[in-house]
Amino acid sequence: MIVVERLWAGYKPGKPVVKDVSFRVGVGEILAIVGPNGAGKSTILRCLAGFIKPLKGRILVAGLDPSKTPAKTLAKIIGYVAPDVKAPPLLTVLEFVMLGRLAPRGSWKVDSEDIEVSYETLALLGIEHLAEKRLDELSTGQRQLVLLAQALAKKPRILLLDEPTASLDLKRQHDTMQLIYDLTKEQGISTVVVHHDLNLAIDYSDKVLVLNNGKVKAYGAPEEVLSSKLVQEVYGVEAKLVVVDGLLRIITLTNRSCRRGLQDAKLETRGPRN
Amino acid sequence: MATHSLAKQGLVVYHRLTRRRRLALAATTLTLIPLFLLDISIGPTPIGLKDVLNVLAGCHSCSETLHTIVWSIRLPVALAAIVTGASLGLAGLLMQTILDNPLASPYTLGVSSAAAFGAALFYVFAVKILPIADHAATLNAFAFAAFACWLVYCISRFKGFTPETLVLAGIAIGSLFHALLAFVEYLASEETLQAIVFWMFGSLYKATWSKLAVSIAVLLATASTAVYAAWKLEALRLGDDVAQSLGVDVKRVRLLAFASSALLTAVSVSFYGIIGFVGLVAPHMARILVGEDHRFLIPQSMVMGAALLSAASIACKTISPGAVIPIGIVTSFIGVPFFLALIVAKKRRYW
Repeated sequence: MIVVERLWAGYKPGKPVVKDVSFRVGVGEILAIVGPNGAGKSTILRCLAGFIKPLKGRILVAGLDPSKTPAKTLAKIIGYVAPDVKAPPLLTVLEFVMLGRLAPRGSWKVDSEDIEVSYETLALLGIEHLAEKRLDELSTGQRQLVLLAQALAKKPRILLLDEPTASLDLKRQHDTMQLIYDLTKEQGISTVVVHHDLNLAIDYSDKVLVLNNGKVKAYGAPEEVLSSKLVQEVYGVEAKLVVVDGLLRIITLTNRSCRRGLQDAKLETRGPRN
Repeated sequence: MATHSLAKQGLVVYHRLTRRRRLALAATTLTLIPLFLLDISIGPTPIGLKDVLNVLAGCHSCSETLHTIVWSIRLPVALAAIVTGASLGLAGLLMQTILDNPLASPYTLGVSSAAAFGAALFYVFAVKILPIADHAATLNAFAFAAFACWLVYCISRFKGFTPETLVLAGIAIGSLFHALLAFVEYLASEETLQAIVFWMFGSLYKATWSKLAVSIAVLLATASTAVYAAWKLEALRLGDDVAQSLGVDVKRVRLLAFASSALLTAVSVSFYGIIGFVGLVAPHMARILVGEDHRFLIPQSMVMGAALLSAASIACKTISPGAVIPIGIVTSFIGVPFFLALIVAKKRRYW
């Protein structure tokens, strides 16, 4: 359970990046935060994870105030995934995943459970074959999955994901978000995901929070709060909301495309060209 | 059933990873034994390896002189090489980890120039910082080394005790003491100047049993603390943000490692003078051999440092027969070719 009430946050006093934001993420619920660059999305996650203190407002994460809770306690219940990580090249994938469980404990000892759970989490993401690889041998997308594995191997009650699919291919994007969605429901996790892809945000969330200039522009179930006007206002891009096969899609329209002026060419029924 | 075999597979992978590291650590530790014995055997009066073993085993039929040479000269020096090498290796590793910089060494934060300044104060003005009659140069050096570290800590604390502020504060304080040292040297007479220069060269022949006891105690205390915090130190290598998200109290761990490294360096520099290169290179060699797992990297760095200094101690007695070249001069000659070979042979990026 995550409760955020009238949160103001920023890096310099007098210059808030997040202004008066409130939301609530229940147990087994997933919230997607979207908005343009610099809207304050990551700052909210960093407040929730306890990296920065809010300027004003109240945060409760699993009943704890992150700004007043020791990092050790937070690390055991929160799985935070950064967009990317600067990792020493000689670190192996299995070690990196295990580090998530071992670092908060403070002892050098490794239990066989740590190894087993870490390896099983890698398998869950379909990357157990990478266990012995070094982090610098991986592609950006593979590294992103390893980061996610580190957070999941902790068996967290709270998941905070900063663009977890930004470097993944189309199929992996959906597979990974589906897995996060399922785990959130099965294990009763409270999940907050920051997205740039509005359609992914729609597909795998219970609610979306649309942020612009640090302020909440919309908050609620995607089909209820999203509109083409909102997208136009927040992103400055003309967009259309359509329903295809029962799915809500946001299609961006722009008169700047170099492919303007196509006639309806029955593109869908066309097979692959040889 | 499927998950059960998966868990088993994970254990197999893990043990395969650690077995390689265990082997590397065991193999390099074993090389310390011949180095140690050779170090005792070689010198102005050569002693056969068999005699060395005999005397060490406490034989009573051996000659009095042999006994004296081994127990009061060779053995302390050989042990000092091992202990100081290990101390510098560990101090260097901790510095590289907390400063997140491959160039960091035990002397990066100005400890060596502060210590040298302390020693010079005694030689030139007979100043004694601590009111103890004996070992004034050593005690002065230690006091100033500790003082410099404390200054660096206080300055960098203003800006959140980050790697950048630590490095910059260390370089500033180091330069300050360097200038002070130069000034004192400028005022010194020719003989005292020579004493200062020789002090700085670094020599293990200053070793005594009481010094050894102190350095062994410091090494054991810092090494066990570091190994206990191995995973936290490893988390620091991922950057402060990630380390914090892994539940590491970044500032506390960094302070602990900084204090440990400062203590190790201050002790070794005030006892034996400035012995360069070991603390910079030993951690890199260790990293190439065992990777980033600090449970192995910490002891491996110590072993590499010990081996390097032991080899240097042997070399400084053999390079020019009859004379013992100060070890601070020799370490680089021994270390550079070995280090470059490792770097060139290793195609992959390792920092």
